Amino acid sequence: MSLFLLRRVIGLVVTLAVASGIVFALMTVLPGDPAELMLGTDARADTLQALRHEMGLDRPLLAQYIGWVFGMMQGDFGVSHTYHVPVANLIVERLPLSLPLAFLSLGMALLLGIPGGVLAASQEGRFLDHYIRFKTQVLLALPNFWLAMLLVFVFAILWHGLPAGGFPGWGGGFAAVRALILPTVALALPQAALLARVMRQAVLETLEDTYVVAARARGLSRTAVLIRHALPNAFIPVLSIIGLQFSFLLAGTIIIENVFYLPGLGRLMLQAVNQRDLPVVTGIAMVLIASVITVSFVVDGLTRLMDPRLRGRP
Amino acid sequence: MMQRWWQAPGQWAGSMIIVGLVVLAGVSLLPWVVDPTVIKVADKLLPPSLQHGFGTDQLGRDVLGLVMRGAVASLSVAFVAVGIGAALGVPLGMLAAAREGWLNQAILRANDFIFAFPALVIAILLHGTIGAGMVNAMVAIGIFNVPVFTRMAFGRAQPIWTLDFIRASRLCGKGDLGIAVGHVLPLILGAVIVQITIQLGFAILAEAGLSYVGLGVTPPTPSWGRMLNEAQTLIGVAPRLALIPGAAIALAVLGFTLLGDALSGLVDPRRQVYRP
Amino acid sequence: MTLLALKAISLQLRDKTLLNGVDLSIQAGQVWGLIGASGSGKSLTARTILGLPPKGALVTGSIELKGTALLTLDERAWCTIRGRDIGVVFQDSAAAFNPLMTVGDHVAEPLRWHLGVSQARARQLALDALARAEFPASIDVFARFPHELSGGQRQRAMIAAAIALSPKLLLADEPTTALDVTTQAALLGLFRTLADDEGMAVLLISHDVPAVAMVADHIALMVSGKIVEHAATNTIAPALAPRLADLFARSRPRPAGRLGETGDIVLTAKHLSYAYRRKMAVHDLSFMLRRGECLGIVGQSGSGKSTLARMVAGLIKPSTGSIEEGHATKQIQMVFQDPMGAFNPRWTLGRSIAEPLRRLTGKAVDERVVEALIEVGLDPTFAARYPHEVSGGQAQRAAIARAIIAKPDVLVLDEPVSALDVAIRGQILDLLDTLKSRHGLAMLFITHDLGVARSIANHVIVMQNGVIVEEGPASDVLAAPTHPYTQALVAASPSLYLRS
Repeated sequence: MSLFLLRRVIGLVVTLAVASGIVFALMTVLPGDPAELMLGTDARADTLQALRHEMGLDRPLLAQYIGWVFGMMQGDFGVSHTYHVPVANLIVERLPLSLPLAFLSLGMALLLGIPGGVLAASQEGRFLDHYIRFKTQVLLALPNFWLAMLLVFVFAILWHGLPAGGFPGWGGGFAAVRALILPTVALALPQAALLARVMRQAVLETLEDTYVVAARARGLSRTAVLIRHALPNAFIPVLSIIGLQFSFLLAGTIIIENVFYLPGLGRLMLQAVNQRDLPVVTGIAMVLIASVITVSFVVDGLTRLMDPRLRGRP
Repeated sequence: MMQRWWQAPGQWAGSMIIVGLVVLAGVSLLPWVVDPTVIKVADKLLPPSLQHGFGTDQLGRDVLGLVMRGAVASLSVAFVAVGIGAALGVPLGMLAAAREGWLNQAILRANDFIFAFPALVIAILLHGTIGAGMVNAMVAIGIFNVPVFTRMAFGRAQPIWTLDFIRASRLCGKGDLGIAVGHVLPLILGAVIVQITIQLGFAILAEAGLSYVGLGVTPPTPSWGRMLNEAQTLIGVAPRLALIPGAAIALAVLGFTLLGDALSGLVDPRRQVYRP
Repeated sequence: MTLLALKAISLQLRDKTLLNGVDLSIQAGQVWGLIGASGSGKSLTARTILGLPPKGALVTGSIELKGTALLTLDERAWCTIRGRDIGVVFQDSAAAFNPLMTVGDHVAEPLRWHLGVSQARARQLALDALARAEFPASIDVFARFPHELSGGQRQRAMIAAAIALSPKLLLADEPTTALDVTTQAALLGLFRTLADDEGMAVLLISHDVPAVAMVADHIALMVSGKIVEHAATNTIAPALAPRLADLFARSRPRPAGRLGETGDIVLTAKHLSYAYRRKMAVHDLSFMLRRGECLGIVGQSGSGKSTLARMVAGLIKPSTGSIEEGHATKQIQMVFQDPMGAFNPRWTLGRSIAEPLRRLTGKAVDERVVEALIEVGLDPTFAARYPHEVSGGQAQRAAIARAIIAKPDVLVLDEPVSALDVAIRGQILDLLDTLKSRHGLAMLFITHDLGVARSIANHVIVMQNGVIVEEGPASDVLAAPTHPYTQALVAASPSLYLRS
């Protein structure tokens, strides 16, 4: 196990290094001079030169890259061009909104999707199965931001029951929770639909396995076999799908934050893209990529814990 | 097999939706059809009428025309992006399946790595280099699709390489390439087509998302995602502006996923293709 | 007293009649062998007795277990019978265990479920059951997962789970098929012991006639969903049970392989070794192969014989050592165990058979394919068929046609008859024998079945763990083995000792 952990941790570090290298490369091939962007085209040459020096732009690329990476490791993501504050501060400010949103919707997707899939599988071919399959098929086809707009239209504009957007901050207590209800639902429903379909398929496949028949031959009832044998085995492939889904969830968060005008990482990032605020864009990109990679690392470990066949392998 | 085709309602519905979509997109490009991008503020926010089937938007453009022309952007981005994904991903997956050792490991690792980047993050990162627009959307969604196809082709091709008829073929003097093209590719082709169909649906969703946040198709080219973006503030005033393009997206995606699901039943009733 | 009685059991699935009036009655303490070709309905009979027929199947007739009519039971009542009154052992022990659960918990599961005892008590009882199934006591079953045990150990654990509640009836569906002969012999003996000592009735389903004949009191033959003949094992004679008698005759060892004229050396293997993941699969092996000779490589699974076959065929390269071909040796071809896996399912047999003919085109190819098909005893129309449209035996003939079409000098045969039904085995072996003498082929014949080896090989090499333990003329080695390993193999091989 420790050898496995060591190898995975090394893998994690290498992956992060490659990812940061790609992000850095993409940002350095950009046309235009960041210093000029900050000061405007009519800036004086010596001011530009001074700023370039201050920003380290006159150093060799490798040195810039290493400096950037080591900076990030110490929590220094650079300074935002538009806000003139450290990017790290901006990120830390926005995280308490984006993280809960991502995890709330993941939780809701799991709570709806997993039982939904199991229910459909256990009723295979009957009305409920067809109903769930049809529902999930339609939900999967809906763009989540459109779903969000529909929810706003119904619950905020027609009914006035929930806020159409904005976030009062966690200090707002109940108002803050209310503000997150529609975004969470909009993010979670398509995810839940996908999970339900994957779970249904996985359960149906395990129900055909010989050990399920063998367990029934030992006298276990249909339900007992489903719970004791089929579900644990079906959940393993679903777990890795959940891991993969996380990156889509983050992408979804970026868009949904824009629909609801939520001051989260996603909104910050898209604003920064439009304002060409590179340090903010790269900083947030690295945070997103690092979290996706970490989640897949955790999911890998969980899969290993669940499946004894994988435990022995390095 | 032909009989089952007509018996499957999903396939029917899916095919009809897609054919309808392509026809509408084609018609909107005909030279004598009124150009929906022409702005005529005097006609703004007209309700649906005989002249404007879906009414007009805040700039007086014909919504029906915009939706039809939007299909052009959606379909072309989706086809190019999925084309990129399949053209790169399938050979890579087959290569990984054919070889053991470092090459296989390298491809699969790189694959997992790219998979960690959602299309949106790729688009944001490329945005600076390529700039917003259709090409950005095509490349970003295309890159995102590569690992999907690599994974799928690898998963399908690898078990085939261990079968005895591959060994028999080797004894007949065939090389890896001959076997890959002669035996493996035809056997996984059905699954590739199914995956392409399903990915087209997801690509349409992704394109809409990118255009909605301003990273995809840029004005004045009509696009469903952009229409939704512009309609958002008007949702209280003219909800149809948000409802119509959204429904178009949902219908198009549904068409492709329905067709893909039905085809996968024909190709291989037991195993479903991987769906991100 | 009759323990289990099946009367006129029929089973229909989607307009197809899969069981067609099965009658069977078994007494306590008896071992019944149910034999028949694959697809004859043996396993389906077992699943019907168990009340677990395939989805959508329509079952008619009656099944009585100790006077209780089973087919009218509701699901709740079934659950008290399965596992308590009927125990089941499945064929593929790798698939019949839940991979996430320890082996011990599988054995304890029916105890907890039926008796409602505590986990500790169930585990204690499970250990007793494991001991009765002669499972090695040194293995900590509650810490071991199925994939950590050998096939034979798993099969014993499955028997333990099946007999934990001392059921009256034990159904064993091809319980030893995937196992080595020595393990197979021990397990078959265990079934006999359970019947004799515990008075269990055992229904042993198998396609392996000699194995069943070793332990069963009665044998029933199933053909197309019907039991066509049954008889006490020691009374089987042509007058009483002609089809069973015929099957027995076919399963008896064929006359030992004759050595025709042998010619030049076509292949010399020198000090072959093959290492895979730092383990030696084959270690320092040398032999010679002559034209017109069949060299048998005998050994159990894991002995390295398939690795050897692939090295000789040139599919993998030896780690050290060399294979030198004779000056006239042009081509080596191979025939595989599973005839279905040996053909691309999307290609016609004709197209596959023609694959070795790379230099020819058009009509010349068609002519050669027809010639090859006729030579292996198939109708030329088979060229247009797809693999799933033919039987296993026909597919194996087609595989042989592909192997000989380009007139190879050496034919490597990797368990070519193991996947085939007994009745067809002899025909294929005859065909190979004929081809060998007609074309002066040199054959390398890999098998785990000593009966098969004796009937076709002129010379045998016995392998264990990648090394040769014994070699010599087939008749000598198999009749009077000198190495203890060979002796154990011979002693455990039912096909060598089928009672006449």
